[in-house]
Amino acid sequence: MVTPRSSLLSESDPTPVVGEPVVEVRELEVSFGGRRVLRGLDLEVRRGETLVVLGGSGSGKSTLLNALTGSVTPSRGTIRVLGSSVAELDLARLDAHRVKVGFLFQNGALFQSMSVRENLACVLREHTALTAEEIDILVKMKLELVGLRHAVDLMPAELSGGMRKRVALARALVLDPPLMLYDEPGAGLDPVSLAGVDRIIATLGRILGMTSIVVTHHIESALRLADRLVFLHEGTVVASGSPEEFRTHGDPRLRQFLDGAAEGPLNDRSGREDYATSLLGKERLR
Amino acid sequence: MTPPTAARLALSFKECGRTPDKREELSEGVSTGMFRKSMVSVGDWGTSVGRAFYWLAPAGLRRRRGAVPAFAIVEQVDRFSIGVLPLLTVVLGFVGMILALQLATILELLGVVEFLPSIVGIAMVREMAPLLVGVVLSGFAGASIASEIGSMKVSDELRAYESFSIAPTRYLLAPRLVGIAIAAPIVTGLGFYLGIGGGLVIAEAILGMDSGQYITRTLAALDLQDVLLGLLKGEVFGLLVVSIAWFEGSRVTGGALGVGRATTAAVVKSVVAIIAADLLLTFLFFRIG
Ligand SMILES: Nc1ncnc2c1ncn2[C@@H]1O[C@H](COP(=O)(O)OP(=O)(O)O)[C@@H](O)[C@H]1O
Ligand SMILES: [Mg+2]
Repeated sequence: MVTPRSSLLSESDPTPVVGEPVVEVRELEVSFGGRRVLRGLDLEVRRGETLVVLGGSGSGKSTLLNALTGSVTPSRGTIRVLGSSVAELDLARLDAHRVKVGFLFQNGALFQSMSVRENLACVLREHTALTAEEIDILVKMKLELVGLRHAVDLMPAELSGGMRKRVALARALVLDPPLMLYDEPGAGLDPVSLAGVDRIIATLGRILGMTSIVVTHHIESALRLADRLVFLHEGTVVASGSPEEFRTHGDPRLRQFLDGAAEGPLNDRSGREDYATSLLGKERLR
Repeated sequence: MTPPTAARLALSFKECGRTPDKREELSEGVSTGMFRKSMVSVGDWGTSVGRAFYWLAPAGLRRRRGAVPAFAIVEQVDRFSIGVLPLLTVVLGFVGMILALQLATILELLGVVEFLPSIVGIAMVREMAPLLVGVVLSGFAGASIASEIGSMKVSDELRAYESFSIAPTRYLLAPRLVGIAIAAPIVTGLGFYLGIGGGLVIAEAILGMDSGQYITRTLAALDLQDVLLGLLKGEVFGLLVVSIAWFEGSRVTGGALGVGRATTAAVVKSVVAIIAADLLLTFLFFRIG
């Protein structure tokens, strides 16, 4: 059952104003040790938009997010995020860039040795000149946003998976970044926790007008969150469109992905020459 | 142009869903590969240490903003000094005793047992105390740093720091390096006392020497250069232990198993590095003093 987006929020929510491009990626190529992971990827995200990135494991979704934060260096192509050309930033400018981009890691990546309060507070102390009292208020406000104000004095090890993810979300939001990147926010969550996280993401997009890129494997959650979706396969965007367009999309690879079929064009690799040659050795095939 | 057998085989592997990696690395000579790898490793190690020192430079000289957190330095000094004290007391006290016992037999045979204090003192200060402090630190601090940083790497914590523009070399490595730089000479100095004290206990209890005389003789045999060399060694060994542990921890891949491997590697490599550095330093200062 696909929940229509309207059910996530009340009917009176304002529709976001979709504005100028916040992320512009052109012909992006990223290689690891000679293996091209992204192969000429194009992407555009506008202000206030929520873009969902779908794709199989290893299709390069995380690599794409890492390229947007400047953590991986492209071998070709351009990446413009919030007006700066990410690959050309020096380390000092990259520091300033990353403060403007919130990142939710797949497993939360909370600082294990710090309490929930400290996890958020240390980021604020680092980047703002606020007093301890002001920081404390802000920390509680952000935790309230994810419904976890009562957990402020707990340690990460004392939290459940869903709570950890929500604390991580509060931490990613603590500097009010204009752009949020979510790497599989639903991974490892039960349906209720997933719905909770989805609702927060939707709230941020719809009400606060935040620009978001969400990488996810949960089709239902993708279709209800997205203003627009792209489907990544072998390092390029092979399909893109609105949730409605995706439901009826003709691309056989996308169809297999959305239907969750075990056999189909996505896993048929026998036609690729390099597969056979690397399996049996070039000489044998001659 | 695939023969039918290849196609069939290929199809049977389809479920793996993964193209086997290219084998270029294997065709390369093993020794060249290993040499290049170890050079790259040394380069990475040096880069991290260099970055940590960058963050220790005055803020005005740096383009990147941010300070090394002072509270973290205090924490690390505490960890590397008070933390290692019990183990250090046992190890150095006992080795001082062992050394005195071993020497006593020979020196009595030669009829020069009164040289015991000076030999124990020089051996302790110039060699044994710094070396044992290094070994104790690699087992104590090195292993715990490698596993601590390794699990941060595995759980993406290190990347989380970066995502908030908090460089791990500033926030985590620099305090550990400064911490060990402060703690190592203190601990080594304590090691002098503990080792010499061990020798003194044996000399008094078994050889019936006068403790006042023992101390006088020890002090007469030692000069400032010996003490400085010993402290320098302790400092170098401490920095090696922490930086190698950081290096091993921060490049962990492969989950909990990888963390375990990194911990072992950190201890083994820092012990080897300590002994190599010891040889080098001893050689450099051979003629002095
Ligand atoms: N730092 C890296 N070094 C080497 N290979 C990498 C690195 N990061 C990702 N890869 C490889 O790139 C491919 C795409 O990875 P990723 O972007 O994480 O995929 P996804 O997030 O879509 O599952 C994978 O085959 C992965 O092994
Ligand atoms: Mg991923």
